[in-house]
Amino acid sequence: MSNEFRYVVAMAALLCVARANAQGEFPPPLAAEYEVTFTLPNGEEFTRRGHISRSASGKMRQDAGLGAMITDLQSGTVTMLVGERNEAHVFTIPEELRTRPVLGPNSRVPPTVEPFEETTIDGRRIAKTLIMGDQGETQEVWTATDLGVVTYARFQANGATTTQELRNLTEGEPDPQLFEIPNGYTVVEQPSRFDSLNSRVRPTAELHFGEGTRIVPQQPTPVDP
Amino acid sequence: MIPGIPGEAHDAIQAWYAAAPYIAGWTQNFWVFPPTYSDILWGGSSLAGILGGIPGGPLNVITHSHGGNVAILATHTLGWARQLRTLVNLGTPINWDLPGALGGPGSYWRCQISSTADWVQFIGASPVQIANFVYSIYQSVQGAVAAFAALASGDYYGALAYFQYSVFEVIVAEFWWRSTKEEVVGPTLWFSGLSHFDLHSAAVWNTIAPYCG
Repeated sequence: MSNEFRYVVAMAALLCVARANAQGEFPPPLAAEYEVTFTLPNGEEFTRRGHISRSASGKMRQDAGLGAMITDLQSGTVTMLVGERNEAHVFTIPEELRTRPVLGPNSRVPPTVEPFEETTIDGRRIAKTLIMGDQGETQEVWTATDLGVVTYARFQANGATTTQELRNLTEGEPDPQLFEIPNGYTVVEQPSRFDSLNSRVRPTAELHFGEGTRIVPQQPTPVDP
Repeated sequence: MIPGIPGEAHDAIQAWYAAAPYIAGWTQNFWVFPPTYSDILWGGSSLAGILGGIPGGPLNVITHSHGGNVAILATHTLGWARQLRTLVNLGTPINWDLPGALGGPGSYWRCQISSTADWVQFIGASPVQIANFVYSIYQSVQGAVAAFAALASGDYYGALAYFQYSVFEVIVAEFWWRSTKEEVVGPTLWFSGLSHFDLHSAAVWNTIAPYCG
């Protein structure tokens, strides 16, 4: 996939030596709210809000809507908590797929990316980067380099835009219970098709959703027939 | 195919069409999972028989959850030749294993109703869609960890590349998430904050009826 990208270096920036906390294998623990906004080609948009928690041991939990997802790199699992049914769907990533991504031309990861701007926002050092795809898609990412977390990202392709933003960022270890399956939840085994990953489509260039897609009011209001 | 709750969606639908809806209960609906989806196949066959017994005239079918896939099967695959006026699928998983997801509609007008908060709909999708979503989420976290490791070792530009990758995988995951909710052969009306079962309420029907009814 990375071969299909060409990289835009908007501005040579001062090389900022990472001030990351290099003591542990995993990034520092934190919690934050996030907001994802989708803007459709017809201009309509909708927003999905959620919460993320990251532990010092490589676990990540994302809460959104009526569910949550726990990713545990040490056990190689992704657990979906479906609140409406009190079900936990546990997916174990096959051993051979757990390898860390690597930089390079034969990888989905770009070789390197230089920031086009470095600045300070809310007291944090932020590096802003931008890459462009060969079909005009752009992806702008702002990273807080001390915490190792993306605070803002904007992806644009096919006339649609996805923006994600972190808010109310707090440092510190979240409650460990957050990374466990809650009491009363039933663990559901579901077949997985990780063999299908080789046929993964390009997520934007082939994004042909239905004509006339639109957003209706968040809270439905009665309409006289 | 929509559950008949007296005074709820049933009454709202009756008021909209000025006709009493026929409730086609789908009672054998446990085995809705891959690889066979056997109860969906059974339901499709059953529904085709029910629809075949309804006299001529405009026919609107309103479904909930996998009931939408039952209706698609009934109208596309099982020999049902008559075109529906409308097919309204409330919270139906867009499942790429099942016929009709990418084929032509068996109805003149087809509406998909989805909620961004609905995880029940998501887990009804194909294991292909779910595996791709799960793996992208996993890879996104992997990318963030690799980025941090690169930062810690002083590889600043490499770290920024990993952060770009991590975000990219989130975008890929969002695509797969939406693939389970957004129809490709007709419009999708989106709600946020509503549960899977909220979608067959009178309030939702009254909201979508002007667009889909």
